[in-house]
Amino acid sequence: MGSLLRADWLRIRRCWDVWIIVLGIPVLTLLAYVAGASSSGNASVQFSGDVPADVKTQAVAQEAAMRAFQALPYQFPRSIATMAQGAAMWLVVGAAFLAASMLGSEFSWGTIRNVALFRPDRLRYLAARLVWLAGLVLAIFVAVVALGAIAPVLVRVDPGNPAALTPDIVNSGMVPPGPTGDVSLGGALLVAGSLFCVALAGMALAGLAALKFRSAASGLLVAGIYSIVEGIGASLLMSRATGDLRYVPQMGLTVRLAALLGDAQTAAGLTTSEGGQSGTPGWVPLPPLVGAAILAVWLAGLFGLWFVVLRRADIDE
Amino acid sequence: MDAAIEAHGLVRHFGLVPAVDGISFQVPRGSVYGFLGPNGSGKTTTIRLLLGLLRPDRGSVSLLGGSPHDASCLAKVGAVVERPAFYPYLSAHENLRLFATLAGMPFAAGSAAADRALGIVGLTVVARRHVDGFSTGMKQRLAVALALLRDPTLVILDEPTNGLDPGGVVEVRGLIGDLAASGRTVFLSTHVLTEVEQLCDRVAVLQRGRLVAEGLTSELLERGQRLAIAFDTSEEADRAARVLADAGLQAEAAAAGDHDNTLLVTPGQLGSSAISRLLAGNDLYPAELVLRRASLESVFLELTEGV
Repeated sequence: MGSLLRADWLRIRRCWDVWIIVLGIPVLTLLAYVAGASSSGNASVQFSGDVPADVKTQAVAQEAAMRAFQALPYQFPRSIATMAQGAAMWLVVGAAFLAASMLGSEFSWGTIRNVALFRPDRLRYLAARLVWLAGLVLAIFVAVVALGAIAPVLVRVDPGNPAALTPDIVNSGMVPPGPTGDVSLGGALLVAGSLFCVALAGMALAGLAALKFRSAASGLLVAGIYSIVEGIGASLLMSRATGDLRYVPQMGLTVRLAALLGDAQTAAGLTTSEGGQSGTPGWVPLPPLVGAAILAVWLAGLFGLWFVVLRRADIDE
Repeated sequence: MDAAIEAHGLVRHFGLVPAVDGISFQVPRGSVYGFLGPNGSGKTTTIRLLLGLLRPDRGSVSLLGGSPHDASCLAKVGAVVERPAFYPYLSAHENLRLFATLAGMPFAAGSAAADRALGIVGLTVVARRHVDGFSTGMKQRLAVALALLRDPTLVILDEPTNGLDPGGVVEVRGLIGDLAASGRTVFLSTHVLTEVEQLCDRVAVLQRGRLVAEGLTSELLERGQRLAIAFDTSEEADRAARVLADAGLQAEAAAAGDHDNTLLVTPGQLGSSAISRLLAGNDLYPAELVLRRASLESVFLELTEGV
C-alpha cells in the first residue's frame, strides 16, 4: 500500500488541476467571506423631511438591530459555519471533480493499462486512490474550517449592540427571520461536518460514474444528472405519495443530504425547526439516527461499487 | 516444450462478435515469436487476454508458468500494448519512476532503472521533458522503455515500430535482436513482415479471430515456395500440366512477365528432383527448372485472403 501511495504522490504533486482545487477553494471562500464581512455594517436608515421623534427612535433601534444581525455570521465561532456554508458549493463540486478527474483520466489517457500491468491487484490501487482523494477533500475542509476560525481575527466586524436584537424587533419583522442567539463551537463544527459529508457523497457519486463511464467529463455529467433527476423525482413523489409510500422518497441520496444539512443547521441554532426541509410538502421527518444510517449505507454502497466496477473491468484502453 | 506463453482455447466475444475464437498456441522460452494478422483479426485482443487486461469467455493463459493476474508473474513481463499511454504532465523519467514505484521498487533503484531504460531507447537527452511535448515516435520509444523497466524475461510487443522513423525502426529491430540474443522471450505482433522474417523463429497467423497457421518461420516460408518449370513449346507445357495433375500436384500458368510456357508448381511432398524425374519419365525435358522462394508477405496474403 505504501508504494501505491508514494506512486500516487509522484503523480499528484505535478498535477496542477488538483492543486488549483485544493488551494483555490479556501482562497475563493475567504474572498467571499471578506467581501461579505466588509459590507455587513452597511445598514442605515435615512430621514428626509419632517419625521416625528418616535419614528426616529424606532428607526434608530431598527438600524442598530440590523447592524447587530448582519455582524452575527462573522463572530467566532459562528464564522466557522459561515465560512463552511460559503465553501459548500465549491467543496462539493471540487470533491466531485477531483474524484472524476483522478479516476476518469486514467482511462482517457490509457494509463490504467500500465497501472494494471504493474499492479494487477486493482483493489489495492483503488484503495490508495481513495485514501488520496479523501485526504485531499479533508485537507480542503480543514483549511476552510481553520480559515473560519481565524477569519474574525483577520477581518474584524464590529458586533454592534447584540442587545438591540430585542424580541420585539425580531418578531416585528424588522430583521430577516431566524434565530439570533449564540452558536456554540460544537454547533458550528456540526454544520461544517455536514457539508463534508455532502462533499464525500459528491466524490463517491462522481467517482463511480467516472469509473463506470471511463471518463472524467462523463463522470461529472452523469453524477450531476443523477442528482437532478433524483431530486425532482423525490419532490414529485413527496408531494403525491400517501401512507407508507411517503417514506420512499426519504431514502434518496439527495433528500438525505438535504435533510442532514437542515438538521445540522437546526441543531446548531442557525435555523429554526420550522424552516429548512420541514417546509417541503410531503416531508416526513426521520429520526436523526435513522437518517444518518441511510446516508451511511448510501456512502458505503457508492464507495463499495467503485471496487466492484474496477475489479472485473476489462482494460481495453 | 518449455513455454513462456501457453494459450489454450482462448475465446473472447465483444457482443455477439467473436474477436478471438478458440486460439491455442505455445511460445517457447528464449524464442522470438511473430504474431501476424490483418487489422481487426484479433491480435491486440489476444495480447490483452495474455496480459490479463481482458478476461476470456473461455480458455486459459499461462505466462512464464503463472497467471497473468499474479503480480510476481507480471513482474517478469514487459509489454507494449497498442498506443503508448503516459501522464502528459510528467517527464519521461518521472513517468518511468512512477511505474517503478508502483511496482514496489525503492526510490534509488527505480530511478536507476528509469535511467537505464531511457538509455536503451535513446531518450536520455529528453528524459526531463514533459511527455505531452513528445512526438508519436518518442512516445513509442518511451513505451518500449517502460516495457524494459523491470528487466523482463518475457517481452510482449504490439506494433512496437508504429510511428517510428526509418532510423527508429532499425533501432527497435536491433533492440529486439539484442533482447533475443540475451535469452529473453519476445512475442512480437507487427504488420512489418520483413521484420518478422528477419527476427522471428516461429510465427502464428491470425485471421478473423482464428489461427490459420502456426509453426517455424522456415516451415511457413517453405509452404509458399513454388517450382517454376519452363518449356520450349506450349504443347510441352500443356502435356506437363496434365502429367503433374495426374501425380496430384497443382500446376498453374505463370503470371505475365515469366516465360510464356512456364508452369508454377507447388512441390508439396515431392521434391524438385522427384518432379524432374517424373517429367523425364514422360519424355518431358524442361528448358529451365527453378525453385522460387516465397516471401513472408506472399505467404501471409495467401493465408489471409479469402479465409
